Amino acid sequence: AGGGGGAAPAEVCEKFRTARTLSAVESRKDPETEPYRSKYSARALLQEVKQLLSAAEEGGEARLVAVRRAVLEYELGVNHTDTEELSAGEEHLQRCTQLLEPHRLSPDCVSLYIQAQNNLGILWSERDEIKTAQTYLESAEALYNQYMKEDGNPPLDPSEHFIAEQEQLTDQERSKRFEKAYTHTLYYLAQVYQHLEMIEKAAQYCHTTLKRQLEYCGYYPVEWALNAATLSQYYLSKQCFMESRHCLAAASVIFSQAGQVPSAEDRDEIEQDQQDLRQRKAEIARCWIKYCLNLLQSARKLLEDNIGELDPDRQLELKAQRKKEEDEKEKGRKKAVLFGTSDICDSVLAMEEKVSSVYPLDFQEAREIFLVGQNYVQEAKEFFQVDGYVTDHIEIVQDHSALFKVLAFFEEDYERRCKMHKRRIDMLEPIYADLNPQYYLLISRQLQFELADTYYEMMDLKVAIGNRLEELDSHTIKKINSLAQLAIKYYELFLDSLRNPDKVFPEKLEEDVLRPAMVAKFHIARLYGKLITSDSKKQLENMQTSLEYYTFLVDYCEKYPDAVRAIETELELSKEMVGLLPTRMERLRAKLCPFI
Amino acid sequence: MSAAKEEDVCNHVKVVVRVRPESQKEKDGNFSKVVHVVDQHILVFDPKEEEVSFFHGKKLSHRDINKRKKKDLKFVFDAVFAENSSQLEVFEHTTKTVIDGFLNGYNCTVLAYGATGAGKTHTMLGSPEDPGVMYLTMMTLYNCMDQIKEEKICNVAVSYLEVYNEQIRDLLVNSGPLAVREDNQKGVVVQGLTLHQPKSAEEILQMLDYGNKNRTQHPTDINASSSRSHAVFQIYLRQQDKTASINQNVRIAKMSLIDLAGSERASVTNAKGTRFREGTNINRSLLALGNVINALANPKSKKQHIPYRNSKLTRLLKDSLGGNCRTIMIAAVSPSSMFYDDTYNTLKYANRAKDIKSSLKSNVVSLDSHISQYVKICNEQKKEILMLKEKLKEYEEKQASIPENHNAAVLLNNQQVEIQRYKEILKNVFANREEIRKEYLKVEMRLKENALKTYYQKQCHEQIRLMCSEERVEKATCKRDQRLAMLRTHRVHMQKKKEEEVEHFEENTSWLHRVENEMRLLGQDGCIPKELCKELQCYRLNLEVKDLKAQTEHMLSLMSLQDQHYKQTEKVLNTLLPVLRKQYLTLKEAGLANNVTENEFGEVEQLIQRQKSVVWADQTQEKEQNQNHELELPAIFAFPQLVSRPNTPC
Repeated sequence: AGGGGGAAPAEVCEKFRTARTLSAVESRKDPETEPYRSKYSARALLQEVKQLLSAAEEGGEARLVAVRRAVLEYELGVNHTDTEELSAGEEHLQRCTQLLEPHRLSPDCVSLYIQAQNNLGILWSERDEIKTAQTYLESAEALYNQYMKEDGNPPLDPSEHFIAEQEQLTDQERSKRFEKAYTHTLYYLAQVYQHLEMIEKAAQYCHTTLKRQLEYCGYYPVEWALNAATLSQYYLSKQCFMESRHCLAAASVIFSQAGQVPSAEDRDEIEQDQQDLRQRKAEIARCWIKYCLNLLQSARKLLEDNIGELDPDRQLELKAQRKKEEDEKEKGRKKAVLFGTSDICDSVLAMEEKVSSVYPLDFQEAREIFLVGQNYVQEAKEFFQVDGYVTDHIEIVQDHSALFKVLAFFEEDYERRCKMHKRRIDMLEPIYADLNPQYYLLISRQLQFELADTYYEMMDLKVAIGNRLEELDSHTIKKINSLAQLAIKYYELFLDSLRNPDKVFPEKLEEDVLRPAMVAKFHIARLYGKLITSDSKKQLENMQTSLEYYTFLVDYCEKYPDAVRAIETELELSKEMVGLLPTRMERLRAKLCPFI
Repeated sequence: MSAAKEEDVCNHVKVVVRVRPESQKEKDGNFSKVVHVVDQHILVFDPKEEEVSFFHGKKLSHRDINKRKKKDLKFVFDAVFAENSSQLEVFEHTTKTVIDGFLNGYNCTVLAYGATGAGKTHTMLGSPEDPGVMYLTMMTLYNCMDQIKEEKICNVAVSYLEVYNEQIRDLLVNSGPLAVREDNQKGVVVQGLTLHQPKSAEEILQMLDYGNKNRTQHPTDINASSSRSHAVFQIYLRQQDKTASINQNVRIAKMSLIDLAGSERASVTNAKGTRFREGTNINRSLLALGNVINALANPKSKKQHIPYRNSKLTRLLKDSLGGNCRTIMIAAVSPSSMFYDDTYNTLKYANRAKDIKSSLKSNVVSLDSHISQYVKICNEQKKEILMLKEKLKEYEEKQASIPENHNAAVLLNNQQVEIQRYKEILKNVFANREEIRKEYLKVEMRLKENALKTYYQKQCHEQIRLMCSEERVEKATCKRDQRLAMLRTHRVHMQKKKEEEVEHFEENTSWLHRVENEMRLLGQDGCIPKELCKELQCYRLNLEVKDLKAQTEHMLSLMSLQDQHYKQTEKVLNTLLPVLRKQYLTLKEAGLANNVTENEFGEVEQLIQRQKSVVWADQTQEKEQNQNHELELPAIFAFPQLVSRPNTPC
């Protein structure tokens, strides 16, 4: 049964098949002490096949012989790279591409050629020559595109060159394998671009890879969903809310497919799996929270004036602008990134309907996004409970608080705004109280600062409300003072956390806490200046305290000029206050005891 | 106070590298050294220069099987220990430095990292004859406790566990998989993990030894490749003041000594690593895709959520890698080319670990979101300051009516300070103003130059057209168009710059205006104090002078351009006229001159003699048209003047 046309001899086919099984299946069972045992056996078999083939070669059709040899070179190349013999692997793979070069666009070679280039890409990336890897992979990508344009019929799978004729694959299977090879090309390219720090391109290729996994049903739902959800977070950083939402919606839809886990024997295992699933679901919910939060915060940035209040002119302007560009733009962008086949796509679109991806421009719109975010907060908290997941739980609560904070920005009524901040206090304070700063120092500090800031904000609002009245009534004054005191308390707690075990405040602050510490001091100084009292002596005392805090800032910066950079504005104001307050106090004193 | 400085709460990750001596096998084989320790902080990996090994004097020519280019990479670490360093040295520079912190109640973490056989275990555990860091740490700790036993009651408890395949096992007793959870009071807790109270350092060593035997992959068994088992040894220290007081000061701290899994293929396990290949058997999951996507998002930013994927170790160390924790990483490498890739990977990983520092820092309270609120505060405060100032002024005035030497002096002094401040401000304003004017005039000059050149181009081309063959004209047109296009783009560019400068100038003007207003507030009667008034005047004049000087200079340069052009024209004319005359005479002699030639020649003659000629009706038009093309030279040479008014307008 000499070579010639037609199928390869049965013996050859058998050996080839065994070699592939050895390398793909058996090698997984190799003992750790001999990790490449099966690979080596596979290699020996491949060498045998090569010899058998060259014996039978005479008289055969040159092209057929060349292609078969190319398949063997490819298998040998992969085998050598797998066993960490890169140089030999490279030689084989190069020989493979050389053999195929003239026929690379024909249906019996194109798949093999792409796979050989994929492997050359991997090989060079393992040598840390990413640029070289990039050229191979990009050329594989280009070849795929050219083939699909010029021919487009499902090409042969490389293994078919060593298969009896009746076992040839169906077109459907061929196409599936070919597309998979190309998906791998894209997937390797994503990694190459990431290594070259071409982040945008890397993201684009990740996206396409995910998309193709979905199209060709080659994915694990949970893993896919998690990847899509994470990719959405990248889009957030680029302010691409539409893409981000699409990824999240797809993640949620695909994740719901994973609900039915195949029953495992072990009950513990089921439980573990369920636990994992619940966690993943909560993770996706957290990605949604970030989506809502970022969308609201970005809108806020667009809408706020220079003192952080809603700018009505901007609001009108943006509303008019939105009407104009809404439709065309979105549709144009969307086509490129859409996931999934029609049925999945419909569910994804339905999911997307539930939350907007355009900037909210008024309270009503903001509230809708807020509510979606809040729902996900509840969902995430269900899994990430304080008991067992302290840091995760607190991060979620912090996000919840941030949602309220940004919603308050859209609220015009000061009283209601104040209530929203009160909600923040209500959720943060108990958590803080229960936390051991020994183990959760960072979070503890974050909470102290946020609580202080929230009280501060509430006090500001109360002052603003009070200013509208004819005269401050004693109730409002009491409220303002108590809020200021609470803000001071939390700033002081933060500053106390910087003390060493012997309760001494550090002489020189670490770079990472410098700014927070200085800002805390500055705020306390201001808060003492804000306290309202009719008792002049008390007032004098407060002024004295205020002055001390301002002086701290000024003195510190004099001693460590490096610190100036971190707190320029605060320092400038503090200097002025240090200059002004003593005279004012002098005057007050003069008023108190006019006869001294 | 210097003690306080030592005890700064946050500390970054300290990374040290230890290079072990070559093994016998490495010495015997055809291997070379690929790590060169330069000094206590620097090492070079795969150095360029061919070092001659003194020990066996082998030629190095056949070392590089892959014919790779030498990487010659320099790494800088907090400390580098060469082959001959002792255990004690390593200890002195690593754990010893954190023991004080530990006794003060800070958590500490020591991570050992490196390929199997790179000397990690030797460094951490050592042998009975040459004990490692763990033993030396415990010895020192017990010594310290001994020293303070008069004042404090110290309790030590230890645990030893293993993370293998995302499962946690107690190594000191037989246990099933344990769960990690966070407790808001106790931090990270491994449920069911046994705590042991050893009496001495020796007992601890025995425990370590026992635990190691229980490990899924025995760390000392060199043959066991690719260990994916992390071992975590934790020491809890509880201190209590002996003095009986009501609020007893209790300090609890935790020291974690971690033997990280081997790094042979560890790039797979860490999130940043290069996992390119999917084994042929992994069909559906593209493992590394998750890593790539994770890397796209910025984990430092709190604005995004990156789902963690199965990392029990990360969870376990949540309270040990940041905040009030001190972290040391010991990377162990072999110097031999036999472990080329392992060493390279380990060094790369260790190098990255240095960055953990920044990621921790960025974690502390973020103040970004407060910026807008900030402007509000600043505005408010400025208002307050202004109000205070006003009140002070009132006060001053009142005081002024009651002559009081002391106060007056203070006030005077105050005003003096203010004046000085405003002088400084004025200086800045005018320096800025000067700069802008200078730029502006320069741009103006460039624009004029451009206009002139464009004009010359056109003229020159016109002459060529009048004089030369069609072919030449075409060529010249081509050239001219090119030049004109160039000039045009240049002009557009300049125009834009000019607009910018104008804008800057306006900004500066409004600044000046503000400053003037403020200065007016300073004076007694709404006028700028005399001293400042003079200063202002001086600056104004100064600016004017500088402006004029610059203008003169620019004009001169334009003149020289014009002059060049003029000379060129003169030369052409001087050549043309004799030629014209000669040809005219020749024509006349030949009797070919007709009325038209006569007239034309007469006209030229008249022009040369500067006589006023008769103007023909149809010629007038032509002339006017011409003038439209021509440039208004005076306009070109004039520069926009700086207008200065006593009061800068709003």
